[in-house]
Amino acid sequence: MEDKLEIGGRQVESRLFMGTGKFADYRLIPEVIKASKAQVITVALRRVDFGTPEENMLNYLPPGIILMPNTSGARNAAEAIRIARIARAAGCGNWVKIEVVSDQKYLLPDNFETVKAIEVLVKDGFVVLPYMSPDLMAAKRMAEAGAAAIMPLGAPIGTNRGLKTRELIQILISEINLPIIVDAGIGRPSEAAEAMELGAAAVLVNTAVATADNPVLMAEAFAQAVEAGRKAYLSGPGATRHFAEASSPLTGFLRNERSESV
Amino acid sequence: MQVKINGKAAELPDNSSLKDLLLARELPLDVVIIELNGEIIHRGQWEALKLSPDDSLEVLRIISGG
Repeated sequence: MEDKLEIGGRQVESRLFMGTGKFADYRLIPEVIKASKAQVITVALRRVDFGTPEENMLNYLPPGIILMPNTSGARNAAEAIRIARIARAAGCGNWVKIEVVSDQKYLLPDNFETVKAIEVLVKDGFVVLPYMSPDLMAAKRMAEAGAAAIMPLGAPIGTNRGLKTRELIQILISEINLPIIVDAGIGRPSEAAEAMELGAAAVLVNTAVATADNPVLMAEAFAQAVEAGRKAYLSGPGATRHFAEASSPLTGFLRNERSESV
Repeated sequence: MQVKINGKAAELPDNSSLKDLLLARELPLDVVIIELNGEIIHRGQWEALKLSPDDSLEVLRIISGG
């Protein structure tokens, strides 16, 4: 059965997107990407720390991936636009994850500034995937501004708390005619499967894999969960009901209708 | 002359080129991305570009992130 995800005119092979942050060692990253089968991989842009020279992390990314720099660190639209343009000039391609955060406690994204950044970057030729607080009206504005997908959070970044925004994400899936990608908060493969069963187009995971005792095995578990959840969504799950309904026929029992003494 | 690098004041020999600066700081040339006074400077221009007093440089790189 053909089931392809297309974003910004490009076919994406895997519905699991992977972040590369928080890994104890860059050398884990290629193994994790391989186990996750992820094709869309996020990176960030930062100032060089002159005191501690580091390796070039791009050397650890396999060929064939779609690089998606984020605009983390941006507190408003102007900063996000600047970061996106620098990342593109650095050879990261034209995909960008808009991330505008000014709240330091919950790291919740600023949907208003995000819409402004999308408007500018889409006109500038970017394929824009905004990270957002799940809100229908904000998602509509983002779609109108030309976003290629909408990426609502399941729970605050890095919390591993799962699909706390489930009801709101369900509304986005039903009302927005763009891929809905659950980004942030997913901590367990079962939660990734839950998002996919709801009809999410993909999930983006980082902390859940990077903070597992065995990140490579966890990446593989997420790949299977995303695939299972997607298949379950496509198969159309049966209705739920309150009272029991026997799975085996209720006729032809090997018993007498009334108890008889022998 | 004095310039600003990543928000901090730095002293450079007069007439330094951008490439001189990067080499002096032992920065990996294949990795860094340069923004000078808010403009992205492409790799091919580094050698010819002479820095001026009060220039503000951002020396950036791609790192891991989510």
